[in-house]
Amino acid sequence: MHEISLMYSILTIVKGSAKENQMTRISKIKLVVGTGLFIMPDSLLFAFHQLKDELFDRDAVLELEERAGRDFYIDFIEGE
Amino acid sequence: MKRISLKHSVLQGNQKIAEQNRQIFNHYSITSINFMSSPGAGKTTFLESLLLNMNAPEKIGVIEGDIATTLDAERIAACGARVVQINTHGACHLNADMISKVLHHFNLSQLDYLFIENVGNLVCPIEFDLGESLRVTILSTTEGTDKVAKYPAAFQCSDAIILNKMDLLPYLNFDLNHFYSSVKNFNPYASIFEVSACKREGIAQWTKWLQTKRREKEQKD
Repeated sequence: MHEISLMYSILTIVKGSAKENQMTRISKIKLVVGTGLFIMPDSLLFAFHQLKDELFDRDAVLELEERAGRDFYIDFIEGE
Repeated sequence: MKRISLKHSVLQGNQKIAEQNRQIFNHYSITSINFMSSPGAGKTTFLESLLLNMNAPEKIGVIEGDIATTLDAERIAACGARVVQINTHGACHLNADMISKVLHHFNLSQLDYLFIENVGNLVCPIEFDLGESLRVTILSTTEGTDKVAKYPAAFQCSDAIILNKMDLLPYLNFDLNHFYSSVKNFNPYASIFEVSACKREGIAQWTKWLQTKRREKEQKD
């Protein structure tokens, strides 16, 4: 279940970026996930909803784009 | 509402610490090996046989990664090597930060080799660079040849692949030819070794390969 630790890393990066950009609310994270990494999208979504805190809107969205290969990066974040 | 473009690698944090670990290993001329396999393939038994086959166990450090217990560390300590157990408490792989945090338990200037036994899992450890010099995947004959195709990433990223429990081969429906062609299909560059860790067979050949790899790196540096 390494999706939990991956999501922890994702949220750490997002929080750092939100602070740098003076954002106090995050409504969306867009992730690109390579299918060659064998990461389970449903598990990532589950982890997102379990780990997101007050920085995130209640209905904040994690958008996943699956691509062939081994890319794994945060494409963008949206918020205020 | 604003959109911030990041293009930020999720594993960049781990990679940064892995590079720091690698620099430390290079500084002390330590050859570090990340051993991966599914649970029960025989990683710990292989390490026991390896330690008994290598001279100067005081020059070998071992990091044992397990979700719980110190059972493996106790077995390794009995072979004379300095061992540190990492309990991941549920996490299914080691990461670079876990390795970094236990290095102070070793007298690094005394070590030639650091063997890292990852948590038994053929999927999750693959993406987490620990800073190791070499990656080795162990498959046992009892698992079947299909595991190579089912879990290709572990075999693709390995410098060597060890086929363990060869002593059981006569009793199993394990097609050696299929195993070799499967591995070569995913990774034509990996060295393959047939071993029976519990009988201590095939260990000397693998040790020789390891020592050659170490010499090659020393000459390159």
